[in-house]
Amino acid sequence: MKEKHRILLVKLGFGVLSFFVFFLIWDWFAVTDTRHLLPRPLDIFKALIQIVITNGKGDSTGHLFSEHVLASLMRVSYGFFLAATVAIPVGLLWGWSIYAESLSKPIVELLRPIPPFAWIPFAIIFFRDPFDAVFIVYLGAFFPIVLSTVAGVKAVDSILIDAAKTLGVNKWQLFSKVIVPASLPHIMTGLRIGLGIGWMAIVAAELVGVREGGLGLYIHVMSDYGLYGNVFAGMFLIGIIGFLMITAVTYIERRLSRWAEIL
Amino acid sequence: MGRNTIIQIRNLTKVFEKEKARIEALGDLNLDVYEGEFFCVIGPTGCGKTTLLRIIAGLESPTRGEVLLNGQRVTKPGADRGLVFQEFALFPWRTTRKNIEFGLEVKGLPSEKRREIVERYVKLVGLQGFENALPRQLSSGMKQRVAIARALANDPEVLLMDEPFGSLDAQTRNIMQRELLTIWDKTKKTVVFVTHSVDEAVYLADRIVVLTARPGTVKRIVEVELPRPRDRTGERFYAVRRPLLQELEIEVEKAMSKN
Repeated sequence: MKEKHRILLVKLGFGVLSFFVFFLIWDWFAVTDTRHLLPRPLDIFKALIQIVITNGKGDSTGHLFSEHVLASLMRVSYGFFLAATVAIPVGLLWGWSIYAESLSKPIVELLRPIPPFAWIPFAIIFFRDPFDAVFIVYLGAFFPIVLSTVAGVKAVDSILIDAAKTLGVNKWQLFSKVIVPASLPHIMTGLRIGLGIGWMAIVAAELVGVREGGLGLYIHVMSDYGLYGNVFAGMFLIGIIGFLMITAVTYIERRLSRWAEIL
Repeated sequence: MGRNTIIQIRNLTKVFEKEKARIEALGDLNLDVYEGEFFCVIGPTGCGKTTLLRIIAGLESPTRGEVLLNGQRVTKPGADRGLVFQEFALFPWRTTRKNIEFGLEVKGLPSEKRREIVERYVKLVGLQGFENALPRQLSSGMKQRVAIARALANDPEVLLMDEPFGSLDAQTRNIMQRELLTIWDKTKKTVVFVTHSVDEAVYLADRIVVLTARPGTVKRIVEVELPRPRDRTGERFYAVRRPLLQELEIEVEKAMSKN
């Protein structure tokens, strides 16, 4: 028990120390930067407080900060749910049937190496806002979900399939009562990774495209006005929101896959 | 005992063709299993005991020959043959209750009926109080009880058991053997039980078949006429055990010299 406390103390102490050293070095760089492009940590903090207090009223982006957050979240949600709705069934079928695999694998392997961001210029001219951004999120989230689902189906222990067969299942029951629940931990991992990439993709898409609101647009505009404190504050909030979303999905993942945990 | 044959195995041959190797697991095996008996299969490692059981279960198809269950040719797995695996093969996301319920759910039984049956089998295998536990929360002995209850709840014609106690420690193993006999006595099921332990076979079986080294075929069938409960340390127990051990040893040596 004492050993546990000591380790906790070390982790906490060194954690604080690492932050402190990090910001100290940062501050030194900021102070010595003669072009004044790198904001000082304290300025970022001030900008952050200001954003929280005023909700970015009158910040020349034309929107409240909460509207930017909401715009980004909406685009990510659409893209992510669309990706999950298509990728999970495709992955399940691909993992299950050689026909489905032969149909989907070549196309997926062809498109997968293209970073979703490379689609941004095409998406901007092809779709209307917000569907261009949704499309980018969709592409970013789709592949990890599909591939994790396939891996999940292929990792189902064959002895469970044998057991189910001797208990009298038909094909559909085998699929719905064994294959799907057995692959659930893998599917959840895919969703978590997909959401992370989707969040990256949305900011990239908003940075490049001119559109109505969004966190990517926010840091883009702030950068144009030379408000680098606000740029970094925006970056920080993008990180926080991403972290919160991933944490929420991880929580659901843990709950749904509790049976798979090894004691 | 009215000796009605429930399983007939006729000229059963199984050859596994792998990339380079051609393994003849079973070679022209003939065997009858009678209704209601406790039938044990012993043989050296790799003699095709498990393959035999998997063919009866319908999970593997024979290269030649056939298996008949009540005169019907076995072609695929079905609820009329329950299988208990050495590795338990429980669905890890299902609780004890839901594991036992699996076959009943598949059959489409209404939930009150399922509940009633599950309760009966939970009691039969002594798992009261663990109905809502997940497999990972159970000891190996308890896991195998769940697996036995799951197979029995489906009310199969025969219960196939593939070294079900092979991964249990010695004490648990003895307890499970005793309880299995009690369960067998209550349910009157035909049991085909594969093991590599002569001791286990003599303790459990009405009849024991000794298989030869690969390709597996019948070497000898022994009737065990000892009254139950059997005394593992008794003179009569040894009298049955000794010749079986000797015969098995010959086959094990044959199997080893082949490899």
